Amino acid sequence: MASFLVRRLLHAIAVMAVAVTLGFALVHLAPGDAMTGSVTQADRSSEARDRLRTRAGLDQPLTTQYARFVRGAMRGDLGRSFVSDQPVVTIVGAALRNSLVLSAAGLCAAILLGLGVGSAQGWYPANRVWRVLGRTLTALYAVPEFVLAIGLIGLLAYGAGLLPVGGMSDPVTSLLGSTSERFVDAARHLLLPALTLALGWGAAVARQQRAAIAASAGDDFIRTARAKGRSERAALVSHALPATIAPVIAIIGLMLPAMVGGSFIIEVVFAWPGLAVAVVHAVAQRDVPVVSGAILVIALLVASSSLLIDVLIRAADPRQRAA
Amino acid sequence: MTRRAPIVLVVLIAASALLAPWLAPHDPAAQLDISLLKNVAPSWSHWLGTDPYSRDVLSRAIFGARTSLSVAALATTLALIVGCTWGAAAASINARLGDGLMSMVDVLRSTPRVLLFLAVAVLLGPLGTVSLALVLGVTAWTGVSRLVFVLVREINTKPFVEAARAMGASRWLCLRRHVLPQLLDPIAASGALLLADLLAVEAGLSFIGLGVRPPQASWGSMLQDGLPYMRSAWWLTAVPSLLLIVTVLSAAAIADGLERPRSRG
Repeated sequence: MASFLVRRLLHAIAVMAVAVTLGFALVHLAPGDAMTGSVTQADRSSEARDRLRTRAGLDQPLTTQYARFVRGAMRGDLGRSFVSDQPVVTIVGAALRNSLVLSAAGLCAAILLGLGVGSAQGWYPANRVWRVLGRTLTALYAVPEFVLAIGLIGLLAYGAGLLPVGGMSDPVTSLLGSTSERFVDAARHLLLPALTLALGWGAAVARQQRAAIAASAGDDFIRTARAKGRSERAALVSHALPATIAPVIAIIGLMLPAMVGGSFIIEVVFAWPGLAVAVVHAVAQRDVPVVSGAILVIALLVASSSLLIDVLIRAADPRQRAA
Repeated sequence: MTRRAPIVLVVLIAASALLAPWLAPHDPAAQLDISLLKNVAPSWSHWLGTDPYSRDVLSRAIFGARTSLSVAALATTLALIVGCTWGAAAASINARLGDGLMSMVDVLRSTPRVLLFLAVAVLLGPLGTVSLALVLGVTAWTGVSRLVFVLVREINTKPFVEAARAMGASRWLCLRRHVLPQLLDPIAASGALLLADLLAVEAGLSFIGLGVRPPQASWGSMLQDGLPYMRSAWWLTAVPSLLLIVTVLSAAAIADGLERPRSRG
């Protein structure tokens, strides 16, 4: 276990090093320098720009700047936005909270959906309902996520008028509504983007789960459970299902980097005020510190959650612990 | 769906992409008449309608196919070349060095590629076809290299390869003559999957404005232009969505078909 943890930590550190260097390189490879690049700086006088440059440390040698950047990042100081002059941590932090709400909702729904449909399809291969559901999910999985999102918006938001088109809350309700009204409003805004994510991610989980359950259906321990007289459902829920938990966690771990990209685009489609919208905005304004800060935060998140997932797999699967 | 249908569809779309300048009725970037031809519904004179800038949607769809397919195809080729070389090299040199090369791949794989896209976008702004393909290719080869690495290592331990080695064949000769021919099917299959994936990624990037430079048409940028008008001008989003879905599903189906003969054998 100890050597495994050390290896995983090294891997996570390597991922972070790539991201830190990328984030740093970003600030310093920008044509000219980062100051002249940003739109709002163009109209400032050259003395003002020099002052800003000194404050951002851009006049020092690269190695010093890199050390400063890394040290700052470790203390949670990512510099200030070139555009709004707010600390990057504030901007990114607020956006991150919204992103996490959406991703967490999408992931929970995806796991429920994937485990449910996948298990049922694998356990009852003859059942037509589950088979059709499973195939539908697989087909949806092949469709690019944001196209799916646009389709859902067209059907449920514009077509049926059931749900809001985008955003995180209704401006009127968020100002004047009672707590419960605001909650319902937030849930309505969350539903469509979370559903889009859940369909895409759930399909991947379902595929894995169906294969795992179908493979274990003939295993000795399942036969034993049946021979003891346990019902089909009990054999599935308390025998077959627990054995498939570790691979499902593993699949989610493998999907993590792609999930970041997927939810990124979904946030833009639904104008969800998360990291993606903040970053796309920052890119348009060439607000380099915000972009590099967001890159760092995303990488840290992915590295630490994939670390967590690998530890979880060990915990969920006794065979791995022994190895 | 019969087995041929996806191939026919992809060939059709690729052909119209190739012949775009002759097939498209209008210049894809030309704003035909900004006062009269804004968001006009499909009709005989504009089969797929016009967009908010009064451009002809059919022409943009055809030229968009050209952009989307050439970016995805170029990027896939690049990714296959780099991935196969890296994977085969890592599997052929000594084991420790090879493992080192592959753990570099693992680090890259677990870094979300959207981060690199962001970095490139903020450094260079929107891109042309070739540079976009380069960026996509550079981030896409890791999966292929893993696959090739595992397969080459596995085949290297097979008796016929060991026999060839014992007869004095060099590693390189073995790789070329005995190992690589066995890999063509899986590599082709992963190439088709990659193509489907990169089509989606390109569309996504162009959709959020990090892809091709406007006014160049790409299916993703068409979706970006059309999304605000979804209620009044459905064809703006429906056309590129359908094209994307059909192409991506076809490429995935082709990959599926390529994978099957191997698992049967």
